[in-house]
Amino acid sequence: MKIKVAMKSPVATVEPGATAAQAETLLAAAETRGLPVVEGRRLVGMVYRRDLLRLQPSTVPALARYELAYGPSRLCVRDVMRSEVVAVAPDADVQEAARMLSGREAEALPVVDGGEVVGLLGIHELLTVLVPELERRWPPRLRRVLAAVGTSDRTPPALPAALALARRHRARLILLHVLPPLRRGLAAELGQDVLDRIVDQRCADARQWLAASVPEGLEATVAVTEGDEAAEVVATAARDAVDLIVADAATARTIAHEAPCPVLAVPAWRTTHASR
Amino acid sequence: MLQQARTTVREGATSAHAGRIWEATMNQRVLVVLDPEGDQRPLLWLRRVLGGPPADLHLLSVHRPLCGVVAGERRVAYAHQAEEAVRGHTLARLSPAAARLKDEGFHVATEVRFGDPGATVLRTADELGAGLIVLVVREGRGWRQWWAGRVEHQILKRATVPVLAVRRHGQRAA
Repeated sequence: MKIKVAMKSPVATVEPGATAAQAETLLAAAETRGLPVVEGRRLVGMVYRRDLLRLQPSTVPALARYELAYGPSRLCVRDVMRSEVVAVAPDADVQEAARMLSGREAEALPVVDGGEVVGLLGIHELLTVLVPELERRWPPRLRRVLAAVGTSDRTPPALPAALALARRHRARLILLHVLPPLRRGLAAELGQDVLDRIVDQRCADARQWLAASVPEGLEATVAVTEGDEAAEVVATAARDAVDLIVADAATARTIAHEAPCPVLAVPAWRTTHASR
Repeated sequence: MLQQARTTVREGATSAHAGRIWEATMNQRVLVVLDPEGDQRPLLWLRRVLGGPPADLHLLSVHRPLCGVVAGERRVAYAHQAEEAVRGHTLARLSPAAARLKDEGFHVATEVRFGDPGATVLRTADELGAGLIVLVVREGRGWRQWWAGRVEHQILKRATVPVLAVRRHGQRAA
């Protein structure tokens, strides 16, 4: 892409005799990081926002008194401008300008055509054209999707939505099923051995059921745990650095304010009978 | 009034089949609820979740109804004048984001509405036949948290389409 497509034009300029305060006002109005300094039409320098910021008086009152004589309203642009300026041509590539900006302190490059300033290419303009290019090359996608498969029923609405998203983004899917803890005191009634067997059986059943829901060709991990659903979902999302949590609306309401990533709340679907 | 697109799945349908239905519905028309401060985070996440165009995006900003401006004992502006001013200001803030999304190939519409936030969002989604609502989850302390949470809970509870909830703070960038 050529610089003339990306550059900001027309561009505000300032003369060397103007005060630094005037240049500051112009910079704020033009919403750029730098101003080309021109004499007639010839480029003689650049004045940058960061250079003007350095002219502000100290915040320590005792020091500021001595600095007033050198404040922005007393100094001229020629005193603060940078004379050694690298300009670019409008027909040059933006890659060239990006390389020049990355290696310098300058935040904007003047674009000069036939000795006359025709535009300005700053970091903002550069990113405006480079970001879409980067996104075309590496489209934004989800890498890990966590499906919080609820405990209430065996047709969780979050599951199909999570499968569809994982397939589209070729993301790794984590299916998490949190079993509600068994009643306290059950160990005393049944004995610890029996209780352990019950818990193992519940987990194995849930794992088998979830594994059967995953279509072939999808990278998926099935996790079954026992405890508080909201806390487990948030903890898993944080631990596995997931990009999106898919949950039913009730679970989503409890975790939306503390989840480390966005939450897709899927409402319960309306089921129709084929015979109707 | 159009009926809100509520996904209907036939009994006995497989998860994969149901997933395809969700995917098709979610990608058609999206209602993006932007907060008055114009936080762009939900848009970044939405692009990531959708994976890009095509989709019809409806950017909505909801404000509480205004009562006009009174200075001393004089009414300086009536409610509709104050609302027009807020509408113009908000649309100007939304326009750069809308222009960027249009450049990327999305069909974008912007709108400012006045009313109860939760009910207005649900009504707008209903009217548009939106397949997905994108919402910013705000955080705060005390009654602010309670008030903001109340609106978001109302939307998450009553919406009949998927809702993508993005936290304003505390989440990494898209």
